[in-house]
Amino acid sequence: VTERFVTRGFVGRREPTTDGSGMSGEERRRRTPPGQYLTDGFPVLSAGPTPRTPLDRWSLTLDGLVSKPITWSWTDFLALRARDWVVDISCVTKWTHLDMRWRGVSVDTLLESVELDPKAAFAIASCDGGYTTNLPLADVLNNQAFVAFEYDGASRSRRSMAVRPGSSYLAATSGRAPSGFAASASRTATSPASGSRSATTTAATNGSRSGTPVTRRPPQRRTR
Amino acid sequence: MPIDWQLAAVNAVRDETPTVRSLTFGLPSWSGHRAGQHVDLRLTAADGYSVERSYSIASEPERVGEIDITVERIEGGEVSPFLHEVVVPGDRLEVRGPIGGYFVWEAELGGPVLLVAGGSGVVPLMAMARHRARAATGIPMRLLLSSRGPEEIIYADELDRLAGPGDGFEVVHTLTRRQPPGWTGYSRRIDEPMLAEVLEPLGTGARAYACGPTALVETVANGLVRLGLPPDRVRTERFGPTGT
Repeated sequence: VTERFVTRGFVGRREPTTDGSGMSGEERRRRTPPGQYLTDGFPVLSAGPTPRTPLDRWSLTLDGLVSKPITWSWTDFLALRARDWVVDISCVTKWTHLDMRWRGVSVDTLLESVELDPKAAFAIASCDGGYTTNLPLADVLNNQAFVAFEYDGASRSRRSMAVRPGSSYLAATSGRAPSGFAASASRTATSPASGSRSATTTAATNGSRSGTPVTRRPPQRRTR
Repeated sequence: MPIDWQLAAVNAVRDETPTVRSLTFGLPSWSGHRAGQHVDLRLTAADGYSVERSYSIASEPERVGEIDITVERIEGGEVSPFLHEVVVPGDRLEVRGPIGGYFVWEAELGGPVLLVAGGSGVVPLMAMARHRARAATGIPMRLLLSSRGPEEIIYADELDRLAGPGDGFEVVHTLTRRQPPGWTGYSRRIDEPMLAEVLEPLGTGARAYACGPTALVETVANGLVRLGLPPDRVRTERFGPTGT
């Protein structure tokens, strides 16, 4: 279908949804990628049972085209320099949640612990449950990606949001991984919200989709 | 590889329950699908305003050139009331698909198979049951379906027919709010003891597919893992928000 097809009888709903952020309906619409609808919730989209990995068995490994692979335990990981991130998630299942507030560790911070081979051009992230996703390193470095361990201030949340991440893994590669990240179920390195995984979640950048909720876009200032 | 939008013709509409309707789409470039997959639907208003939604395919892959979707009318929704009240046979709608490669079952995968659904979560599982019947494999398959009352059971008559021959397909209903007189079946929400009873004849070698509201799917997936199913044999599809 090349020309725009008008659906007979369809008008649609135009009233702005409100989210209590003070953002105008116009601004929310402008920031919503084509085909997406806005939600203020956090739909669970795990493709299987929620992983119940005990935190003392959690690990994050960085290997591939690096000088020496490194593995962090949960305690090690929490000791890394963390910061707040405010980013949008746009999921391939069509929901978009603007300005989600996370706390996590920049992938740049993780990479400080290794020496990256100059041949490395892509990053593959995989995690508990068997999901993988891959991105060009250029879309990952410079604080464009992070591993989150807290959503919306777990302690302030209306519901208590236990962080129950599964084992995670990040590899640097020189070749593109076999599956395109825009088409496949994607993976996050941690799982927020009572063990839910953001299984098919993707982060939107300027209307395009990447394959992972590890954000590709620089953090943005939230207007308050 | 992006999948192109195509203009589907609405060949038929059929009410399944007072709030659930099936629509049959004729697809000009039908490519076949796998049971469990979904399609995207795009509606566009005259001024260019446009919305998209995903709907599971209800029909079996053996049907050539057309697919069914089954849509529950969501009060206050933007798309489902339109599909229920405005769309008539002869209309055309933009469709893209099939989409999805994980929540699928094909006869070649074998069995036994446990299907668990809440309400309209039965739709992608119905594609699997219909596919099983057409493939005539005799693979053991049990469907546990949670509905509020007898009049809200989606595909009730067809499910009876599919289970009729006793060739290995069975349906177990639970009616959570209203039961007909003399009802001897389950009358509560799906819980672990119920899952254990329904799973028992199939054994823990079964593949499981659960679809429905998040809370139900969470109960089912966690319960089945506790009952001994390997997590990678339990595939889920959830709808509705969570954590709210």
